[in-house]
Amino acid sequence: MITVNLIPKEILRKERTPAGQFAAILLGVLAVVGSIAAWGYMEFGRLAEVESELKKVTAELDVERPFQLHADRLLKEKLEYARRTETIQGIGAARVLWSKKLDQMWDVIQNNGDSDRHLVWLTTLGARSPGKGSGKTLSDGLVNIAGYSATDQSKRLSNFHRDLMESPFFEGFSEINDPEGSVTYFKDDKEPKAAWRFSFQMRMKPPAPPRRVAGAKRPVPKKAP
Amino acid sequence: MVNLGENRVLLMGIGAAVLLTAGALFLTFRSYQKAEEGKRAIANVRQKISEAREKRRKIPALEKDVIILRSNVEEYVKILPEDKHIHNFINTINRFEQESGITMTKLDAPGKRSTGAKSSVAFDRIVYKLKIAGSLKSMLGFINKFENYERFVAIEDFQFRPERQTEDDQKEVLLAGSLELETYVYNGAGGDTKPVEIRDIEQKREALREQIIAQRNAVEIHRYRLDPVLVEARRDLFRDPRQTLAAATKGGLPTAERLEKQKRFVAWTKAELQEIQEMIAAEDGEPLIIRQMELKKQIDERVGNLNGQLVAARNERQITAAPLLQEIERDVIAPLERIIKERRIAVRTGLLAEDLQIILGKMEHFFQKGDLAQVVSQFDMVASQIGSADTEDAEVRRLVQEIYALKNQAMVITEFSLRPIRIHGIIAQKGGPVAIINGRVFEQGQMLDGEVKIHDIRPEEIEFVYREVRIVRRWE
Repeated sequence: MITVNLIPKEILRKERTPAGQFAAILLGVLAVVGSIAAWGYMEFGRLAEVESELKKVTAELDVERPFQLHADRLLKEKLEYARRTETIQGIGAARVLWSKKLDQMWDVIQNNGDSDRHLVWLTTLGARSPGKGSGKTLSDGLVNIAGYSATDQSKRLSNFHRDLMESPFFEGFSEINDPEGSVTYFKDDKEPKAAWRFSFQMRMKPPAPPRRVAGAKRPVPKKAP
Repeated sequence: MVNLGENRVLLMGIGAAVLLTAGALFLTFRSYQKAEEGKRAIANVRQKISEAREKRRKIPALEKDVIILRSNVEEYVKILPEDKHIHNFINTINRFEQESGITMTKLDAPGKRSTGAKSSVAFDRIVYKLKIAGSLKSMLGFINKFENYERFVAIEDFQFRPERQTEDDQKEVLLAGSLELETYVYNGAGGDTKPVEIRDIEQKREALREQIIAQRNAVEIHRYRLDPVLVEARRDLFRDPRQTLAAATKGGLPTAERLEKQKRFVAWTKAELQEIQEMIAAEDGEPLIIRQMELKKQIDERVGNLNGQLVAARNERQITAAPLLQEIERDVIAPLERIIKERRIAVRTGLLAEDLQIILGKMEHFFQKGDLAQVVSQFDMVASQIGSADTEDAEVRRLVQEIYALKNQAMVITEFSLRPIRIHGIIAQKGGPVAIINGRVFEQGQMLDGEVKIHDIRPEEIEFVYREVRIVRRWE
């Protein structure tokens, strides 16, 4: 059966929105509004607050920055001057007083004028100071003496060798070669007519590096080009 | 059909709502993420602020350390020459050469180096290489002068070997040698660090004065003084000490017995001094004035006699063993001089005419050899005694005057040799010879400068007059 409703639309009572539809619309509206509200809160509330706080702390940091820079520069200068102090300590400590060494060696050879124990004179004398610095491979210092020990008695040469080693002169040296040489006979009219010709080499260790000054910066080794 | 349209609208509406919601949620999530990042950034900045404040708190201590270190380094490096002073170093080498009596035959100075703020290092190492000649004593004296110099100089390397025996082969062997001198120049503005500006630094430095001094003793520069008495008394190490039989027994005594004789003499002087000291103690406790006067007379006589013996022994170099010399200086001569001073004893400390003749002879000998440094050195050894010589005696007076004149002459000639005078040529011409000196032409009688006069121009030499001393310089 076909139903035709001839009642004019104006009079026709409107039908209610179905409940489900209404609920869906309501939910939809709530969801949209809610999410927009959440976004608004997050964007203009929380985020703005955070950004404001960030600006504030950044401004505080900018105020501290010059002091931080000053402190960094002071620290750098402190390290540099501590290093300079170490360097000049090293320069002073590494110096060998060769006039003192020669004076002491002269005392040994002179031997208070007593020529019975040994009578020595030199033909060459040379020395080289030990290396300086803080590197691992520093060269040893060296003293070379060559000359004659009068008479053909090797005992006198040995006496001289021992006196040299036991004297204040030998302080700072680590080794000396053993007494050895050959007998030379002179053709002049002086006495004694024979002498042992000898050559001694003495090694001197480099000095210990100076005590580190607190805060000294270790020098950066230069790289080879 | 109507329902179909409404459903479509509804669906579209739902779809739009979903999209809007999704979009809003997405933006919300983005904002949330940004907020979280912002919080992390805030935490990071707060950490940096905390570190910066920690560093700021350390600034006073750092400034204090820097002021102390800077002040002390400035003090330490006074032993090093500044860049502008390094040129004077050559003059110093020359001065030491003159004073010690060595001859410098070659000097290699360091090559070009960066200076001042251009230098990338705070300490520039400089090495001078020298070739020198002289006796071992003079070489030792030369080295010692550098090691006692107010500026830091180290002897890095030296080699000595005999060149030839001197003409008087009882004395010293002439050595040829090479020497390396090392020093450092401090470039305060060099290195990696420029000085930081510290406010009110002078007030702060003043407030830290005690701490600066307390921390200053870190650098020690050791020096060494040679004992001139010992140096002079010792034999030359390069001279063959062997002697002919006749020389070994010269004076009737071999070497060992001479040593014994010296020991006996020292023992006698010590015993004599002790007796004198006992007599002085007895004099102090003597109640009778007459006895006091007798004792005083005896003491004065014995003091005079002992002093005379010591002067004679010194002049004739009777004591040659170094320890005996030290012993006699320390145990006899020094106490005796105190006694003489305290008692105001008029002893004859001045030299006799014979002594002065010997001294003059030695000075003339060195002067003839051209060893002017030795002429002055001989004078210096006896200068104080010459000053107290008895010039009432005409002969003594004459000798003293000659000695002073010779010393002054040596010094003037030495000064003259340091003046930059270069003879380029000598031209003989009608109107009289002329000389080309330092690029200029001079005639006889003209003044070279305010102090040097050209006295005579000869074909191969020129005679100058400088401070009343005539000095001949050959044209080479």
